[in-house]
Amino acid sequence: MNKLKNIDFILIITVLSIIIFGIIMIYSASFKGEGIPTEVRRQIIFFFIGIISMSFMITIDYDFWGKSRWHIYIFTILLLIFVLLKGDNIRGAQSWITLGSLGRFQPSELAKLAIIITLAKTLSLNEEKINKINVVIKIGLHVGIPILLIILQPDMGTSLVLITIVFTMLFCTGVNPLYLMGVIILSGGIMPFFLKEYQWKRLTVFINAHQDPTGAGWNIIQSQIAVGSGQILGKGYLAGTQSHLNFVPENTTDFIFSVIGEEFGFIGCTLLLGGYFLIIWKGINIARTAKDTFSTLMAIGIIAMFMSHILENIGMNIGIMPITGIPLPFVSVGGSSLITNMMAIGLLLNIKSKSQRTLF
Amino acid sequence: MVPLFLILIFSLFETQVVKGNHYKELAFQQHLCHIPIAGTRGKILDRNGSILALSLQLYSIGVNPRLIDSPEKVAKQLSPVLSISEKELLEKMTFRGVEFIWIDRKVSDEIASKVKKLNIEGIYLLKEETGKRFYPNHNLACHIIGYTGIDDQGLDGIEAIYENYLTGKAGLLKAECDNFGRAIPQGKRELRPATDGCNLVLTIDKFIQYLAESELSKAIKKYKARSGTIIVMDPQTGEILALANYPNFDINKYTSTPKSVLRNRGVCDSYEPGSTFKIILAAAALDCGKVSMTDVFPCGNSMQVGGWTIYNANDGLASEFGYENIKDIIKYSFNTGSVGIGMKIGTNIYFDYIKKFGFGSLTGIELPGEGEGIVLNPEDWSVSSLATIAFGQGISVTPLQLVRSVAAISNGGKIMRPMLVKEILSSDGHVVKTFTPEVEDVILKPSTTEKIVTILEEVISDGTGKKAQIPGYSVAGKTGTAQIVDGGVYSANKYISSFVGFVPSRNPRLVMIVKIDEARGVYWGGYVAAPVFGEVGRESLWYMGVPSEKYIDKQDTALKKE
Repeated sequence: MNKLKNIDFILIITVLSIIIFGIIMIYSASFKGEGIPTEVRRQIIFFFIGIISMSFMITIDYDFWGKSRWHIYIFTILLLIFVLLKGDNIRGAQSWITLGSLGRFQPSELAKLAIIITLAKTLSLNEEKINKINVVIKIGLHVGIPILLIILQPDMGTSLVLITIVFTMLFCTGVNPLYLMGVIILSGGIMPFFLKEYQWKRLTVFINAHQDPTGAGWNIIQSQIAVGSGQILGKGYLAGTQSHLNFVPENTTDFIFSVIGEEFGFIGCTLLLGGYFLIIWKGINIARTAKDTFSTLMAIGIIAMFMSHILENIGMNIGIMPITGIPLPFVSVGGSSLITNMMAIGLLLNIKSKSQRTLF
Repeated sequence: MVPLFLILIFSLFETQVVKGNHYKELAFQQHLCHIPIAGTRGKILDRNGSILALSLQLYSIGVNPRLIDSPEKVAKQLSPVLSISEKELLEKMTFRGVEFIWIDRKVSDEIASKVKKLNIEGIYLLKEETGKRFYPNHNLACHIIGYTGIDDQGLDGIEAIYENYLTGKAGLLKAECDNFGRAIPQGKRELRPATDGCNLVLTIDKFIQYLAESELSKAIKKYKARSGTIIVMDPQTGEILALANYPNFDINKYTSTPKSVLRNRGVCDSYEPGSTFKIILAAAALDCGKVSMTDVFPCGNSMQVGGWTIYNANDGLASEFGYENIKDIIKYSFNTGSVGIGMKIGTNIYFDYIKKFGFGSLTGIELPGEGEGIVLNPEDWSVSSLATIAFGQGISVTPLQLVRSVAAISNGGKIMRPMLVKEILSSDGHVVKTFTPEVEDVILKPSTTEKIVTILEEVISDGTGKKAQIPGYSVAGKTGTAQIVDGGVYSANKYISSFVGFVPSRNPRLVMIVKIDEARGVYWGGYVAAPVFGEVGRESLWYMGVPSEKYIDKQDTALKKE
C-alpha cells in the first residue's frame, strides 16, 4: 500500500491517455472500410503486455538492475549480434526477430533501455574518475559496441537516438565536453562512409524536399501537406484526406503524427505535445529528486530517449528534421517500441517511489 | 527542454496556422485529377426529325451508407427497381466507415428515373461519361447510318463521315482523387461542361426508306434472288430519300455481321447495267444531233460486230419489220438497234456523254468507300466495245451513278450532287450548317430530255416496263436484264434484273433504281424489278401527297365544261 501511495498517477494517466489516443489514431490511419484493422488489434495486445511490463518495472527495485548489469549488457549484445546473423530484413534493415504469431521483435528498441541502465550503473561507479583516459575508453567501448551493432543493421534512427542518450548521460555525469566534441567531430567525419546512399539522401533531403519530390522528398512533402492542411482545428476524426487517400506513406508508424496533425489540427498537436511535456517534466523532477547517481542517470537517459524520439519524429513530420525512421513514443504502431517505453515509465516510477520513501 | 518544445510548437504553428491555407490548397490541388468528359454524341434524324441513331445516357447508382437511416426499408424499395437482391443491397448499405459505394453501374435512363422518383437520401445518381449508341429502328437505313466502335467513334456510313460534327467537345471534370487517381464521389468538383455533338438531319425519309426496304426484300425473297439494291432520289434536288441494300443488318449488332453484308453495295460496288444504259445511249444520240426520232436502224435478231455475234434478248418481242426508230429500239430494248445507234454517233461522242453523265467518276455522296465504276478510255475501246457499251455491257456503273444520270433526264438535263444530309443542328437546336441542292452541270438540251421522257413513258405504257405502272400517274423508265460476268465470261444463267425510272414523268418527284441480283426462274428486269418500282412509287406518292394526274385531268375537264 505504501508503494501505491508513492506512485505518480498523473504520469501514469498521461501515458495511458497518449497510448489510447495513439490506438485511436492507428485505427484512423489503417482503417480500410471494414472491421478493426490488425494493426489496431495487435497494438491493443501490446498495450496489455506493456501494462504488465510497466507494473513489473514499478515493483522491481532498480538496484536489482544495477547488480545484474553485466547480465543485461551481455544479453543485449548477444541479441544485437543474433539479429545481425539471423534476423529478418525489412525494407533494407536487418532489425527484426520473428517471434511466431506475436509478430516481430526489434532488439534495438529494448537495447536503448538496457544501455541506459548499464551505462548509468557504470558511470555511477566511476563518478570520481570519470575523465581518466582508461575510464573514458571503457565507457567508449561500453556504448560503442551496441551502437556499432545497430548501425550495422543498419538502423540509423535508433543509433542516433542512442548516441543522443549516451551523450546526455555523459554530459550530466561531468565528462569533459571536449571529449564529447571530439567524438562528434570524429564520427561526423566517418559517418558518410557508413551510410548507404538512400540513408544519406533521407538525411539531407529535408533541407530541400523539392529537389526530389517523388523520391526521397515525397514523404516529407506529403506529411507536411497533411499536417499543414489540418490548420487550426483539423479536418475531424477519420476525415483526413491526405492519409486516407494514401498520399502519406507509413502513416501508422513513422508518419502517424501527420494523421494527427491533419485530423486534429494545431489544437490537437499542441495537446499531444502538452502530454509529452508533462511526461518529460515529471521525468526531470524524478531525476532531480532521485536517491542516488545511478537512478538520476537512468532517469536522465530515459528523458533523453523520449525527448529525442519526440523531437525527431515530430520534426521530420513537419520537415524540420531529417527522415530517420523512428517511432513516435506511445503512439506509433509497434510492440517493441511501446513495451520498451512503458517499461521505461515503470522504471521512472520505481525511481520516484524509492526517492520519496527516503524523503519522508 | 522547454526551448526544444517551444521550437516544435512554433514550427507546428508556422505549418498549421501561418501556412495552413497554403498547404490546404496544395492538398486540394494534389488530389485534383482531371477527368475528361465526353460530350454526348449527336443524334441522326431522318428528314422529318424521326430518330435513326441516338446515344442513350447511362447512369450509375451509388450509396452513402452513413446517410441511410433504415437500410431494410431502402433495400426493399430499390430491390425491384434495380433487380438486385435485398440481401446484396442491404450488405452495401450497412457497409461501415465509407462514404460511397457503387450499387449498380451503367443502368438505363428508365431505371435511373425510377430511382430518382424514389428520392432516397444517400442514394446517388451519376451520369456515366459515355453513352451507349442505340439504333431504335435496328436494320432500317443501316447502310447509310453506319455504326460506331466501342469508344463511340464512327466507323462507317454517316457516323464515320460526320464524326467531327457528331462527337461533342470534351469537357473537363476536376475532381478530388486519391493517390491512385480514383475520383472521390463526394469530393469537391469543378466542371467545365462538355458540349454535346451536333444532330444530323438526313435527307432520308424514314417511311420511304421502310417501304423501299420491305418491297426490295419481298421481291428478293419471291424470286429467291441473292441480293439487291434500291435507291430513291428527289430528281429536282438530288436528295436521297431512301437507299437500301439486301441483305441488311441490325446496326445494334453490327459486330456479329459478316463484312460482305456491312458493305454498302449500292454505292461502293459497280455492275454491268445492261439495257437500262440504253437511256444514256439515246440521250447521247438525240442530244448530239446525229440521230433523229425518225432515223431507223436494223433490228434483226442478231448481228456481227468485230467477230462477235450480238443477239436481241429472247423475250418474245421481235422486230416486226427488221428496222426500227430510236423510240421503238428503246421501248422494246433491241440490242441490235442500239448497236446501230452507237455506231452512228461513234466512240468519241458516246464516251463524252458517258463521262458527262458522271460515269467513271465519284458522285461525291457523303458515304465512305464510294466506287467509280469502270469506264475505259476511248483508245482502249475495240469495235465490239462500242457495240456492247451501246446496250450496257462492257461498262461498269454503280446504282447511284445510274439513278443520278436518269434524274438528269427527268429534270431537264441537270446533274445534281447527291445529298444525304439536309442540315446540321447544334445540340440546343441552332442551325450549324444547311445543305442546299447543287447543280453540278447541265448536260442535255431541254428538247433532248423531252424526247427521251416521251420514249421512256412508252416503255412503261406499252413496252418492257408495264409492271412499273402506277395507277393515276405517268411513269417513265427502262428495264434492264444484264448478264453477270462470272469468272471472266458472261454467265449463262446469272442475271442482274433492274429497273430505273421516275414518276410523275412530267414533273418528277421520285427517281428510283431497283437492282436485283441473280433472281431465279424469271429474271427479266421488267418482271422482277419493275413491280418493286411500282409498289414503292405508288405508296410514296400517296404518302407525299402528290396529286394523281388523272384527278388533275378530271378537274381540267370539269373546268372546261363549266
